[in-house]
Amino acid sequence: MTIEHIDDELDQLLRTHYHTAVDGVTVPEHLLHQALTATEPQRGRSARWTPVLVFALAGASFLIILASSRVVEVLLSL
Amino acid sequence: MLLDFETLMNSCADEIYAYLVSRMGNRFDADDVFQSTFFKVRRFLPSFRGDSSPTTWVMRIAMNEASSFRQSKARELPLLIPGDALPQPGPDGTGYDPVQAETVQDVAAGMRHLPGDLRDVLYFYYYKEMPYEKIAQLIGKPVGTVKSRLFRAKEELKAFMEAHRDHRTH
Repeated sequence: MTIEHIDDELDQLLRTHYHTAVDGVTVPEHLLHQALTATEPQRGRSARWTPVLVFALAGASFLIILASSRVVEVLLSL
Repeated sequence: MLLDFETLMNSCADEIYAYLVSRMGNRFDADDVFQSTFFKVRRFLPSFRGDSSPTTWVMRIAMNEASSFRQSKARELPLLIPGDALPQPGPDGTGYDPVQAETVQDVAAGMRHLPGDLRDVLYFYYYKEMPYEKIAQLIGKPVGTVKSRLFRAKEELKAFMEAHRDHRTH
């Protein structure tokens, strides 16, 4: 089999693949409606709060460590 | 250029969705990316200057969204080609080539191993039948890049199918 023949065969297979997988694909009605009415995607909304939560958790951890070290210091001085 | 979001969406939704189904390889991810694409379209529509056609502009957003989706939360699901969508025999049993049907499935499997930028050029070239120049304009790269991506994509597919064929015969 020549290289040209293999290339032709692959070209044909690719076209068949796309027509099989994509022909007649249309947007589902509910998705169209959601996209028309949605104000913000769900994962975008939760993603927006992620840095705030991370910062708050880091702050809380720092305070806990600070408080525990102070408690240890007081206990040792007794 | 004053564009109405709903009109724009109705004019290109099917085209964008078909691209996303092909690009993502499954409808679950295509649905997610479709939503995020049109969210961005709505958000940035007021700043659209009309440098390209509205559909091209939306397609570029869809391509970016598809790329970032793959990078952040790729789900390796099989490309959905239902059995009844594959070439079927005619009523008299003719017109069906089982070897070809199997090979088309191999192409679908091989496609999953290709990087997104290679899948894009294959789609626009083989399905949308766009000339190199138009693909180059769409993806924002030189014509030479389009040609080399097409070449690389086909080489990778050939290698995959060759390995698959060997595996099956042994």
